[in-house]
Amino acid sequence: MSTAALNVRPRHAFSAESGSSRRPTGVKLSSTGRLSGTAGGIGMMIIGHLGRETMRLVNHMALLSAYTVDLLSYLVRRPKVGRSLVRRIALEQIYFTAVQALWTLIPVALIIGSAFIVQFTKLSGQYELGNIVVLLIVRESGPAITALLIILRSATAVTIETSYMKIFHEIDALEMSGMDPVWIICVPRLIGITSAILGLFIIFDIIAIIGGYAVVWMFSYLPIGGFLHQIAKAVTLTEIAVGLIKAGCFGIIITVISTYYGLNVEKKITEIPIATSIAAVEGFFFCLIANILISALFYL
Amino acid sequence: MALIEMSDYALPAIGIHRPLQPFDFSLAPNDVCRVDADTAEDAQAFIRAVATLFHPVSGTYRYRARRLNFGDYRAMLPIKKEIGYIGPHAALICNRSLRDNLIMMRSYFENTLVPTLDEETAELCHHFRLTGKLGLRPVDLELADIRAAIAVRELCKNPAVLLVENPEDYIGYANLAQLVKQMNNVIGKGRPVVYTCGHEDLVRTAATRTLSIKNGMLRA
Repeated sequence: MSTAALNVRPRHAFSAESGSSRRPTGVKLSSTGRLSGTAGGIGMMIIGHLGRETMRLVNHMALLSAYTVDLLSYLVRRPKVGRSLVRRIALEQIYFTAVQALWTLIPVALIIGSAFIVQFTKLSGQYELGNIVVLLIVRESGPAITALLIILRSATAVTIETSYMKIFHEIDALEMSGMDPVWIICVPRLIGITSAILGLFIIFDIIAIIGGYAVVWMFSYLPIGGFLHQIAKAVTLTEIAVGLIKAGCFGIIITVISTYYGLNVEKKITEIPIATSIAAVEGFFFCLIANILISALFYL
Repeated sequence: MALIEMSDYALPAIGIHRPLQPFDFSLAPNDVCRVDADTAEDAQAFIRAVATLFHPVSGTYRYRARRLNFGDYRAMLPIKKEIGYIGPHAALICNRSLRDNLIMMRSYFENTLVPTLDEETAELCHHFRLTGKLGLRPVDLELADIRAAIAVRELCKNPAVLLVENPEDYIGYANLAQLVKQMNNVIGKGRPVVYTCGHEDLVRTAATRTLSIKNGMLRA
């Protein structure tokens, strides 16, 4: 996707730039007798607002989809130039996103794992404890919490970095050197973040289950005998496949949204925090949607 | 045949400054053009337009008789690569060392991660007093060093056309003589150069044409 095309940002009709003179007054249909006066005006404004918001959303989704297809097409086309550079940047991204995040992920996984195990042990005794833990940690909360951590640590950094590069002409500098910025900035991050999420998913699940079990065993007298055996029985090939699919989808969603908003800033440095905030919230929201859709597809 | 032909070329307005009037411009292989404008903004806008850094509002840009499509940035990359631009709009990649910045093009096009500079780049780094600073990142460098590194990178591209914005202000007096020497080397190779320069004694003698911009209107 063209970096130029990324600049096509739909403008909200009620934004400061558009000015109040463009607001619909809502009294144009008064001659029909159906909508007249203030009530009709407000009704028209609401309808107009909803219409514009819908169009803006559709446009946004179309741009995001086009950018996603363009980004993924690099993995198929694999341009001959720049491969070693892409490999190097992807490895650096895996280091930043996976290795450096371990010191945050491990305590979070331990806390969540032990809290879940304590609560479910109290709730159900030993009955179906392994199944419940797999259901909630491995299938649902594990992926969501890992995605949230990646978004907080890495996706925000990627948005800030790419928007900084855009504002301070570094993207222009790459283009003036004949280098494709999407190929050497966005694709390595796609590979790096997706690989990192995959690794962190597995680590989160293992730490949450085994670490949580160890913590509960050491610090409480709750009955959790046979817990690991139940877990081993509950984890099937489907759980592993679903984990892999979720990791891939989350990696794509997080990278697409963070780089899209990063490359979408124009010329003001004040746009960077806004873009970062929107990218983080939107990235997490789309990850949750994907999480639900994939779970529904496999388990309903 | 002209190397660059811009016809009925209109630029967008930047900030509160009025844009240049639509203009026609052509650059032949041996041209050395000095841009003389009544405002610095007009001169900069013109140089950046030639550098393809602005998307035009209307008009056509032909490079070696091939019309450029500004909507397809991938198709523009081989052309942009042939244009050397030394000016405030150019930048280094800030999270890479100076050495990485200077070898990045070679890494990209030759698919290699060998961290050694080629002979020409090393020589230019020596002339611009950058040899001892190659391991540093741009944030650790003085502005003059960053600009000297940009000049080295652009000159090492072996550009088909060189565009320079106010070299005396841009690179500073410590490296100015070296930059002028390198510009003259490019001119000596028969490659076109377009530059703005407020310093009367500088490269003006090399200019074969003077482009005048008055009140936003370009006259060849």
